[in-house]
Amino acid sequence: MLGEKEGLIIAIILYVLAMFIYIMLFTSKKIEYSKYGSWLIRFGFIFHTIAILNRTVEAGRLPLASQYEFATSFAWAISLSFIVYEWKYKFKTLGIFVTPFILGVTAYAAMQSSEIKPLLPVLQSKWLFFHVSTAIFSYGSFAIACALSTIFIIRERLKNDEFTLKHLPQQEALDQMAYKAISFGFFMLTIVIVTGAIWAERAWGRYWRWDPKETWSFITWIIYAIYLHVRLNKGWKNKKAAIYAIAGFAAVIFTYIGVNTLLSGFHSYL
Amino acid sequence: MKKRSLRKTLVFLRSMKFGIFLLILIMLLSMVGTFIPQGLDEHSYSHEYSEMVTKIIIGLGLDDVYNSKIFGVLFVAFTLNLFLCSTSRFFKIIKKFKGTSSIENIELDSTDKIENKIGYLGSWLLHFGILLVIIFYSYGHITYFTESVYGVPGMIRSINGTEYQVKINDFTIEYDEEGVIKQYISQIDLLDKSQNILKSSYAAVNSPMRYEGYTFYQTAYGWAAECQVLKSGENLVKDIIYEQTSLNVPSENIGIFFNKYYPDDDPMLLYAIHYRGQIVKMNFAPIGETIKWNQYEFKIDNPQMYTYIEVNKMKGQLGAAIGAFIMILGLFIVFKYPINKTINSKEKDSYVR
Repeated sequence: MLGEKEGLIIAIILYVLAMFIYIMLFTSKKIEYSKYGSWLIRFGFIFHTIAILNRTVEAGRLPLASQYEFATSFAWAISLSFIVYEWKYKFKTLGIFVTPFILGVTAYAAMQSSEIKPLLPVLQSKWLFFHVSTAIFSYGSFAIACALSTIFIIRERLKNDEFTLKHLPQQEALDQMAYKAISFGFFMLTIVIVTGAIWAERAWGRYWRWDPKETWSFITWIIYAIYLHVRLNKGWKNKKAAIYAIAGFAAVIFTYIGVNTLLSGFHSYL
Repeated sequence: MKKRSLRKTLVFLRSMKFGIFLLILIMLLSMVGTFIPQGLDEHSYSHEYSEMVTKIIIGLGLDDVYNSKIFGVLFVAFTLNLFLCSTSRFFKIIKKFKGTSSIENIELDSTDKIENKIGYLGSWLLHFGILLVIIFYSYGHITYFTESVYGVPGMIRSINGTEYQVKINDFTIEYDEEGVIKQYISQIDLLDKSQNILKSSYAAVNSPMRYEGYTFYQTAYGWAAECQVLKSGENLVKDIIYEQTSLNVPSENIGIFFNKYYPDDDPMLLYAIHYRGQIVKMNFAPIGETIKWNQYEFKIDNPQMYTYIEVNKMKGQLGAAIGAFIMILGLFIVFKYPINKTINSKEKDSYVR
């Protein structure tokens, strides 16, 4: 029987292989490699799902209650977002920019304690599922937006040879895809904040108390709200928007990792 | 001339530029509040930072950023910006739906036009929702009431600032089959000033007791014990002592600090006796044993768990919840019907040539 650990190790191996395949694709400029890379990520996603399901069964709850659990679920959400985006936009080279994100988040998970701890009474709430699962998809979307924006910046420097023209989306399309990902991420982040507020009211006695995690979620929300406003109203797009989206993701990472490691607050049990 | 400058001011106050400027300032101040420890006294800041930095922190109210005047002014300005923007956009949307607007000069087919209008409505709802959340949150924040009661089962404690009292009937910790804490539960009665029971219920983590806008939260717990202080055999004081608190005899300048209770097979407590502001004795002692210092005797016995209940009243919660719902609805509409339909179905298929 495949356990959580084995499932995750196989998933990581498949993600690493996928990344190498994508690197080969870029160096050899043979687009056939994208097919293998894509399948490796899909298989990786299946094993990743098995690992998460195993942990769910073992813990008797959804694995959303610790840094390790959130990180593995976050990496899983990036994989899922990649599969959806690749399928929706037929973007065959997206994997090279997404696999480092998946592996980076998984590496962070590996640095955390994977011990299954019982839920603290404060975490024993139905709001845990709504609050954390929406956070996973919100962060996952922002990660994809960051990857797409990185491609935008890199594409500018690439020679317009046949491979680039044929297999890398036009900058305008990349810009639109990043915008779509940010819109979805922003929608989910709003739900994260609202569900968190409802839960906080039940658990801590106030729906908003400027806890560092709350505050940084609010900061991230403002950052992306500004992006959407300036874009929609002032036509702010392309390179400036791409740089902004990358910087915005830095705020996401700080909200997720920085707050837990550098600041203390009501969320410090995570 | 006056009318023109007033109009100009109004246009500026409701502009997106002004709104974004305020958002950036709110964001920066919020960041500061997460890095500078909040709510400490001046001495703690001077210990941590240089004199100049401490002066800046205290002077600008950065020791309590989220309640500072600057933060308040920024939020009021942002609320005004949202209000003016929402009001002016409301009329534009009505015009749009009536079909008298000339804004849409983009070539859109009739379906896109309808979707675009819905998108504008969604955007308006989103902003209106945020406005409601801010207004009701501010109202709740200004009128916020918070108190706490704590005690051991059997005690009746008054809630300061109200006419209510809380009778603690019981406090239990529930464990699951593996011995892991599942829940902390306080059985309580809410009494009026004549000690009539208004509500008899329980307060547990994630499941507070509510009564007429007041919410009773199970916040903390700990150990308490009966403590008696005697001088040459004569009783000076007898009361309940809680962990991390002292029982003092001001007339004698003496007190005992109950540091921690260790409820093992051989229950012990860690205590400290202080006399004239100095700790004169600190040690472990078996529970129930008389602790002696000079002519004073201290007896700490009958340890039991106490419960700590926070009582809050935050007005405007329903308004804020409605605002949040409108916000999400607006966002969903905008997400479903993007205003600037720059991606259409034809373009989507041609992302990769």
